[in-house]
Amino acid sequence: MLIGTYTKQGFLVALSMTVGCAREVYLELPEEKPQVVAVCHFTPGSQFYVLLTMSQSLGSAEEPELLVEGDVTISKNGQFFDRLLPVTVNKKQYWVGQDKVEAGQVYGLSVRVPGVPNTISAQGSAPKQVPLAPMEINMEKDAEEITLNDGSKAVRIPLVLKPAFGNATNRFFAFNIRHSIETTTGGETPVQGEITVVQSTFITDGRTSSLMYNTPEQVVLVDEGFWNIPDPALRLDVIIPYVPEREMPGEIMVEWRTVSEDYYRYHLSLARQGNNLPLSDPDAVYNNIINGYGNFSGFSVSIDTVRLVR
Amino acid sequence: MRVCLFRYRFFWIGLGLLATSHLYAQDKSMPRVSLTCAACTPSEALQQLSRSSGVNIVFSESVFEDCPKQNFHFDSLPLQQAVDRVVACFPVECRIFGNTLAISPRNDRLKVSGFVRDAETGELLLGAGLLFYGKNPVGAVSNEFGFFSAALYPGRYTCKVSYTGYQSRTTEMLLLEDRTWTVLLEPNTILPEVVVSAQTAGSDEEVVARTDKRRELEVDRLRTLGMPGGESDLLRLIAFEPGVQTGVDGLGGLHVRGGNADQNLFLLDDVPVYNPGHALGLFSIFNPSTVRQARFWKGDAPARFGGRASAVLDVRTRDGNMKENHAEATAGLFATSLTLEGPVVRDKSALLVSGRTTYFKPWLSLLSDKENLFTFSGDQVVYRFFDLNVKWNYLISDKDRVYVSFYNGGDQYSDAVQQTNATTGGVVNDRYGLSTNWGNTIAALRWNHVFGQRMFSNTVLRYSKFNYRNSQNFRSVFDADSGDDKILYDYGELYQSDVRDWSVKSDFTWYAMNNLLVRMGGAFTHHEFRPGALSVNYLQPGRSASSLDSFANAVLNNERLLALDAEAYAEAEWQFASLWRIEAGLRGTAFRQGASQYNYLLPGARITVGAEQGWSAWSGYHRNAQNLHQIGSYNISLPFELWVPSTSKVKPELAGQFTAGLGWQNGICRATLEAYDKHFDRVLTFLSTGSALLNGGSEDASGWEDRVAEGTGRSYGLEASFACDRPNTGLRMSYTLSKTDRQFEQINSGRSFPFRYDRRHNLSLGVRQRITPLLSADVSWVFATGYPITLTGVKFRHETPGSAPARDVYLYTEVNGYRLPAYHRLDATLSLAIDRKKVSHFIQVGVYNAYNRANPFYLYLTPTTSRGTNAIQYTLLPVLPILQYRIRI
Repeated sequence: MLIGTYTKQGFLVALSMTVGCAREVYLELPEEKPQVVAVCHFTPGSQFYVLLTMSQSLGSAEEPELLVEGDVTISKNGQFFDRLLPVTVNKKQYWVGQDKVEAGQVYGLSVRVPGVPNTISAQGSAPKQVPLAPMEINMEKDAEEITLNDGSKAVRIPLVLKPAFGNATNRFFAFNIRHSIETTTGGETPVQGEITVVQSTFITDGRTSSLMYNTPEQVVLVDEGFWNIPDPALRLDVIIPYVPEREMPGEIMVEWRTVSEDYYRYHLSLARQGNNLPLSDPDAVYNNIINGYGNFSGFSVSIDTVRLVR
Repeated sequence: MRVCLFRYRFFWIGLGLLATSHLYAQDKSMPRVSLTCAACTPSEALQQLSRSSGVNIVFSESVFEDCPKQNFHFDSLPLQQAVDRVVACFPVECRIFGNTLAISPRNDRLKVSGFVRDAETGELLLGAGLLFYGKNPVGAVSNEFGFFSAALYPGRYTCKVSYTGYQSRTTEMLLLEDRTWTVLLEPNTILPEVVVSAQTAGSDEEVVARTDKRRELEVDRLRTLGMPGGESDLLRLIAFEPGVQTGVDGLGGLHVRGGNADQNLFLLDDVPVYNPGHALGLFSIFNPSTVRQARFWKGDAPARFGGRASAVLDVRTRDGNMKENHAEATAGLFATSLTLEGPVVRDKSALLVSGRTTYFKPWLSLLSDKENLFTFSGDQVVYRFFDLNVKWNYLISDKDRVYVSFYNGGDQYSDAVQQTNATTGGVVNDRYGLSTNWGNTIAALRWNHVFGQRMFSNTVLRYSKFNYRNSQNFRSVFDADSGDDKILYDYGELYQSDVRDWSVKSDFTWYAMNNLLVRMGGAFTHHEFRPGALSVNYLQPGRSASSLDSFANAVLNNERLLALDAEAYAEAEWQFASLWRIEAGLRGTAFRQGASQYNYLLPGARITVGAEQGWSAWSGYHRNAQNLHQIGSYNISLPFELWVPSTSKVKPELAGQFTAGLGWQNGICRATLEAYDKHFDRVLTFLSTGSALLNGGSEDASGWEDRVAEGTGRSYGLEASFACDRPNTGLRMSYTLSKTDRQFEQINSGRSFPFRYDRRHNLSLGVRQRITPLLSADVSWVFATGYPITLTGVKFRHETPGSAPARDVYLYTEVNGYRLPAYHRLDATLSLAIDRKKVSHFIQVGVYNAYNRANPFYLYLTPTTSRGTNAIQYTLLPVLPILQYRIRI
């Protein structure tokens, strides 16, 4: 974003007022032989999808090597559970199982790759879902029409995401919000079948905003520290742009994930990589793969849908 | 008239104090005597009295050896009156045992107290050593306000007073009664002078071992060391001390024995200073023209100092000349300063005003032109810092003095960029502005009072404020050829943070005995924190800046936190045997913020033993707690890192430190070797998301309590220092071998990792040589192991069926697992000092970083460049000239 570029540049000027010189240097960075990388996030009701690649040197501009030969098995509570086979999904080759994941079970991943002497292994589980308390949206009372920078219209809808903790002790959550826009004929009558589902943007208070992290999984990870307040709940204002003359907001869909600690730590460490900015303090990447890299972890998910009724 | 203090043997137990000559006068058994004796000593007169009265008068002639000869003539006086007259020249006490009258020197000590001052300016001299040579040598040291007190037996003494940079003064003194004494010392005009230490060799000096000169920084050296641009700087001087690490070229604050930058207590005339740096730490706020004394403790400060876990820097500024007006002007390559001082009421009151400001503009332009700055074409960068010190003091009486001191200083930075880009159907005009300023304001009203001759009190009302303010705006307008303009962006952001303290503090110093000094006192502080308010405003097209849309203040943290801090302490310095000394103290703190309260009792003790031939050894343990924390993205003490208090979620930091050391000195050279082991039982760090850089350094502080990680740490090492001072040559060396780790559950997967300022080796060497009486040269060389940084040479692909797009993960395996190349630098200066009667000139030329070592400041990974380069290394300060001119009239 342009503003970000300007701001960054401006700050760097402040920081480097007397920076004498900048020069390219060749570093003896800790190089190592490529290692097997296993990435798998599994969820109850679905099979295992494992991406097996080899790690690369930082300067490599090539695509990482996909591992399509080997033996990949899953154990469940220490017993053999499933053997995974290479399958192409979304033009990418994953190792896919046939049996479905169950919540609360401990699964083990074992990978043997030709030419790699050590077996790559990991353990993980998908926690039981901590559901959201029912959401209610009163469009007449809560929603607000606003005008965006480009002059277009949007509706701002307050949303409260409150986990029904009950006896659950898990405090690791992630979520995503989408909404649907329905095409209308000019009034409030939707055109049958013309519905578009898009990613929602939302704004929130400073504390909430600072305790959420974007992840490559298209969900927002919530810091475990967020819940250290009385009656914790995510209070968000969802912004739904639309063209009043021909569109109307339809539904809000909240994808709510209860994630395992392995999942949480891994994505938190990715969020703290500092974007390779100068002086940033990147955290080490959380790794639960033995003899390799990556992450093998589970999550439970539910999608709550709220119809935006006028 | 002095009288003999008579004591009857039968009153000796219990009633001795009542047995005075007055009581004796009512005794009818003593004979009446007559005496005529011309030019007699008291001894001769007493012998005659003994013969004429028939009473055995027992005394030692040496008691009266200082008494002059006198003519005695009296008739038929009671013996006690006659004796009173004879021994009036010296305080004695008399005891009667039957027919014997025993005369001995009075056993109670007399008190000598007063102040040590500069003879030319009237300024108080802090830490001056006084040695009273006599039958029982006694030593004393002037305290941080120039006050001293000693208890001596009556008699004749030779008193030697010495102070670094001043001619030692020797005074003969016959002490017959309590005495208030102002010692005036003449400045030593010959440079360089051999440093006179209160700990120099010789058994006499052991009596003043109370002065811990190792704590005192050589502020005189401050003006001759080579520093960037010729800007003398106290924090750079401290960086030469063993056990002190800094970032590259000083940026990043001081890290003492593995401590964070915020774990140092900086005191300017007893008032805490929150941000001691200018230019992000390249320079400090302590204007060298005003610094009188600086003392530095590395985690083992006495109980009277507290509130920080690692170190204390106690800076005392000059009081101003009480006798005549003076002006001093200094000009360097980066800054200029002017100091004016003089009496308001001669010998009663003085005023000192000192200002300093910078002129960086030519340098910024030069560096911009050479593309050594990250600048756009068309940047209008402005940067400056400034300091203003004002100090007024008034001597109400010999026992009372008041001071008013004020400091205001800060940094101002702004940048403005305008760009126009042609595009389809028109042009886009971008206008970006950034304005940042930060600084400290402190004020103090102090009252010093001497109770009797053995108790000194210091009471001060204090105010300290640090604020940071950053505003940015960006406006992008599309000027269409058709005339239909459109605002693309109109964005404003204001970020501000500040902390203010109001406090009252009282210290009492009781000179209980010559070998026992007791201090006690307390302070009460009201803290107010605004740990960051960030407001973001998006302006609607066509609307004014004051009319905000519904996104206005979308992100806003305007919280205001109050905290109360009560502290009390007691400490003692006790020389319990001729060679043994113990310094022990206890500090109690009670800190309250909201509903949370933290109470701590913090002990500290050090025992020191002297030995023959200048050797000494010591060992100690000190515990510290810290309730104020600076949190930020980089832990390098940048000004936008926020000060926050301990709260119910953020607990105080705690540290304990063991030390043991050996010292040696022979009057010319001195050396110390000290080992330490410091444990951080609780240390904090801020878990940043790294977004601060994209916000002009101002990270929204919202939710900070939940983003602070609590961990532990350890630092241990060995520190050595060696110094020699000969009339023409001075040598300084310090070396530190140390290791510092941190461990946080939330960082590095819970594994221990090296602290960011962990440097295994740190060496500094300095030589000063007087070439001619006016010309001297200084050369210093520093070396430090490169500091650790988190880097990687490996990446992998993260991708799942649900993820999009795929992301390359830089595989950082260990936090701070990589070390930058070593830091080293050579500085050299030539100094010419010309002292005339009315005017003195000082000119310094030299070079900083003489061999232009490209010390790495940071590395920026660039993995995709065509040349396959791994990183770009940025260097902060290349070779720089040193030029300073100072004139004093």
